[in-house]
Amino acid sequence: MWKKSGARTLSKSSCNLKQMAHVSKSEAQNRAVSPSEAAAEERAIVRRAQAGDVSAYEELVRRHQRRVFAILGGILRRNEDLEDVAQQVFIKVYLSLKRFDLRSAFGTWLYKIAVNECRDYLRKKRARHLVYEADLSEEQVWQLEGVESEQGPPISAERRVELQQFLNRLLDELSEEERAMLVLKEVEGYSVEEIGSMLDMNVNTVKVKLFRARGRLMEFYRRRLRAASGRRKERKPQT
Amino acid sequence: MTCSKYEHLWEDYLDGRTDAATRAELDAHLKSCAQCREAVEAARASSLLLRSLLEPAPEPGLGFWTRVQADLRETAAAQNDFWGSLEKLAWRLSFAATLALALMVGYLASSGAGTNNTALNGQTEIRALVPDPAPNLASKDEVLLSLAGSEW
Repeated sequence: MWKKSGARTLSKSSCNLKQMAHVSKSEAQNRAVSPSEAAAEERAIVRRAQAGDVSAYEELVRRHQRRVFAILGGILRRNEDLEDVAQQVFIKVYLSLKRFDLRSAFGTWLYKIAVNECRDYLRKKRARHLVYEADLSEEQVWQLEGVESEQGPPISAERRVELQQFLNRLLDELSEEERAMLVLKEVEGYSVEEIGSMLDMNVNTVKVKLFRARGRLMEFYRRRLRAASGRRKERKPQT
Repeated sequence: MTCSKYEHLWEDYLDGRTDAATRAELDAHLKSCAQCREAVEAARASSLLLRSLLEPAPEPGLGFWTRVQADLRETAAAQNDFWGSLEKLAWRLSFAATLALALMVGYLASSGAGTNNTALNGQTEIRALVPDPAPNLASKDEVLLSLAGSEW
């Protein structure tokens, strides 16, 4: 499943080559065993870690670090503090590992801690941007329309950064859950089943929430585009 | 608003993961429902925008585990410091408590002896105030007369 979604993102952008190359050895090993065997194996590693085996905890970190980074990236959308937050997640997990009762999968428990850590981080940082009606240039609107219709010309690196910032601001308008689901699906290349297990949600719930999140994102997007077009029209008669 | 009956099917439809019968049903529905058509088009556009413009989160660096390990060591050291200072405090408190207990026992012992003396002193004072009845008095009347005759 990971391989398939990884292959899809690989074709999308060259930066994802790094992502594919980094599929860890333990993940590759996981593909060879059945899910129940993998779960039993992981439970054994968790028990060892609970007993104080640091190398077992290292194995757990290595197995899950990629997904934790993906979740944090999806919610925070800011890379500068991402590694610090991830470190904090793995420290919290280690310190409360003895209280983990193995009733759920270790990953589910870990990802919940990661989501909560993001919430704490955002609360402390008050990082939710106020939406400001920054004017989009005519070229930016034109390029966004090109992206949307898949017929636009290639975007320069400079323009791409501006459009990324614009899109990140739109994502900030969504809830943390919506943002995480959209980014995990479209940017990180996870399947709805994987997202369900990461966010501890039923697959059909993920599908419905994802579809609604797309609608909300596009609603904000169109509103901003309309506002930018309206301002341009207002300015034109004066010039 | 889209038709709730189909809402959970659109993700698979957009991913091309629906079977032929469901796909045909959804295609037919899209022809007749403008709201769902618009929502599916918006969803498709959102997918294009996100995939084309955003980049995945950075990979955990090679030294990530080493940094986690260093943080864990620091946390453990801080915790040890905390428990160590708590242990020292507990020793000091127990020493102080023992000392206080010893002092209290000492005080109680000494104040208990003082109370007995006072009682004795009290008895002496009463004896001094009330003169002993005259010896060898035969009856109550004689006793009363002797008391009435004595000076208080």
